[in-house]
Amino acid sequence: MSNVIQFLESMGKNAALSDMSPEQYATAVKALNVGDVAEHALLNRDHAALNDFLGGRMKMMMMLVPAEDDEQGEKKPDEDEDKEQQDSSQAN
Amino acid sequence: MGTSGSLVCVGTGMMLGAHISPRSRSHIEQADVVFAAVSDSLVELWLQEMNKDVRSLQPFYSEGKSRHETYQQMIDAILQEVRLGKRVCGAFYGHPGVFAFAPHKVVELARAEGFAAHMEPGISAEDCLYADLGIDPGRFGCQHFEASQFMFYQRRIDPSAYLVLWQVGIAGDRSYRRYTTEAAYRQLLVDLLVEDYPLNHEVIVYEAATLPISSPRMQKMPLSDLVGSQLYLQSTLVLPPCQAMLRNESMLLRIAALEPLSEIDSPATSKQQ
Repeated sequence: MSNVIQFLESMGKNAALSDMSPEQYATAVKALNVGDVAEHALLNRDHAALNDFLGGRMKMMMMLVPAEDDEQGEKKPDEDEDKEQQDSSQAN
Repeated sequence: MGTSGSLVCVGTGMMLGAHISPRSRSHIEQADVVFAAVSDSLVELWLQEMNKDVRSLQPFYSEGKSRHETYQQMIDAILQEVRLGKRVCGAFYGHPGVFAFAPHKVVELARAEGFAAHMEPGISAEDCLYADLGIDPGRFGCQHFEASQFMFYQRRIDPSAYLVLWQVGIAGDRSYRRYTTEAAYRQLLVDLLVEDYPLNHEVIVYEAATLPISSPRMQKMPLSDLVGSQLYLQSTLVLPPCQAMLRNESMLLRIAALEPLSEIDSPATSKQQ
């Protein structure tokens, strides 16, 4: 596992690490010996720089639910509009 | 590789390293193939270290492409591996079954085809929201809607309870092809909300932290400022109650008729503050 990812994972799951003072955090980061770029990114808590260093995706999508799906029992807005248009044309 | 494929959809939680359950992690580690849909690029890299065959679902997203098509392609890709007899794990950020269409659907379809399929819960953005904002949904009640769905349909909301609108960054998008909607759409959302809330009502834009080195966004603003605010795919809008709960006097009387007065010891029996 990359040292940077391993460090982030440790911070995530270890309450003591997540509560480090700024000085303790800087010491812990320097002790990783991950090179200047990653060290600088970690010290600045710079997500974009870390991502560049580790080769992560540039853009992440996180939408997983549509506002409406094909299975809901109710009419969709489009269907309502279609019906209104039909009604309107019938009235004409 | 076994001959009878299986599927489990697990939640990774929101924060790298902090939220994943031991059980979900073991599913990821033991799967033949893992499909990942997470919200943070570093979380995706973290997953890739848990299993040698982690396939991101991110390439299925594309600006200008219908998200209905994206979700269907995710489902097809996962099911294809299950049908090949593999132990398949879908790793979704947060909780795999909260505001997530594909995980529910793919579990349903896999079961319908006779495969073992189930879901393991995870810590969702909603869970983080309660912790970070200090909200107990049981105190006044809490209503959740997908923001666009809230706009498209006539919903009855209770302004004496919390209202939480998800995916507010694309509120009003009917094309399912955009990854942001402009201020004009947000103005329509505000127009809808002011039917129940004052324009100066304080609302909160919330984004959960995904790394242990970052902080959640918890930006308070008057409702009127929502139109000009920076909203992203991960932004959630929280509206605290704007009025006190109204006592249901007739129901309280009916309940009182069932119980001796000495047995009633509830704040609901005292006059509202």
